[in-house]
Amino acid sequence: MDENLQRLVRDLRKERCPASVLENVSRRISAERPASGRFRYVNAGAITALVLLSIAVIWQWQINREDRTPAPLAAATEINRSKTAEEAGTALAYIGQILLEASGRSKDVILKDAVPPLRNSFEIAKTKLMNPI
Amino acid sequence: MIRELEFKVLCHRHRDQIYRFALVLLANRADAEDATQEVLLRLWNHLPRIIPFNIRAWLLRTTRHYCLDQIRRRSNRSAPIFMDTDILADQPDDLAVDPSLAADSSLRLARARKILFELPENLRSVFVLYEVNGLRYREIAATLGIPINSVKVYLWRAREKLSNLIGKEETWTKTCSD
Repeated sequence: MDENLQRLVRDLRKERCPASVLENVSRRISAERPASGRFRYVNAGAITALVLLSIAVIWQWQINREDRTPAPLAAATEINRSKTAEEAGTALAYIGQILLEASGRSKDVILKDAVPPLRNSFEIAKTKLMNPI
Repeated sequence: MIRELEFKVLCHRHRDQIYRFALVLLANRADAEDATQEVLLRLWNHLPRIIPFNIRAWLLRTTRHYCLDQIRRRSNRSAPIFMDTDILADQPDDLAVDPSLAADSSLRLARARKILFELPENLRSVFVLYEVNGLRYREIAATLGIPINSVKVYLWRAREKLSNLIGKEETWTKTCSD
């Protein structure tokens, strides 16, 4: 390498960072530290508060959901029950009507078809007993 | 506590290299001091996240980014770039004995510095990192984010340009004094 360049390099290598730079750095770091410490506590507090708030909100939401969820179910059950009862009543009324009709018809049938022959046979039996051969 | 200790050790180990690099990039002592201060503060803030492997490259890269940013700001403000040419005023010259020779030598060095400051930034960076800070090609490549071959080429060009310009300057001075 050229002699002039060597001298330049040697000269540049002699350059030293002044001590005041490090002093300034230390001063700025110590000035920033309490603030950052305060901010750290503020941040921690804010995060904790946020977490607690979230937990409370979720808890409240769960309670509300539990309160709300059975209400439609109960209403639906109530509706179903009354509907079932109504249908059952209708069905029973229909069955009753059919039974009544059936009984009316049976009565007619018995009185018209079964009773006269039975009466006749009784009469025949009676006359046979009264007037033996 | 460990962080402070580590920071102090790193500061003492690297501050001169940061300062020299900033001085060559910014061509001004006060600005170089500010740059060193800023880089060391960034080191303090990033210390828990910096991987200890090749911390010197990180520091010098940060220095370069900061200095380039400062140069850009200066050019945006269109302020004249102040070259600190009496940088050797407080530096005694070991090579000279005679006061007149010492003054002459200081003047030559000041001129050489001025020529160095006028080189393109990439050549200056490579020259300073290799010759003054003693980094290897690989470290320079990592610091500047360029291939190793480019580092070699830039170094060669920087040496060539500096030799030529300093030589021309000397010839011109001799001619004038004759």
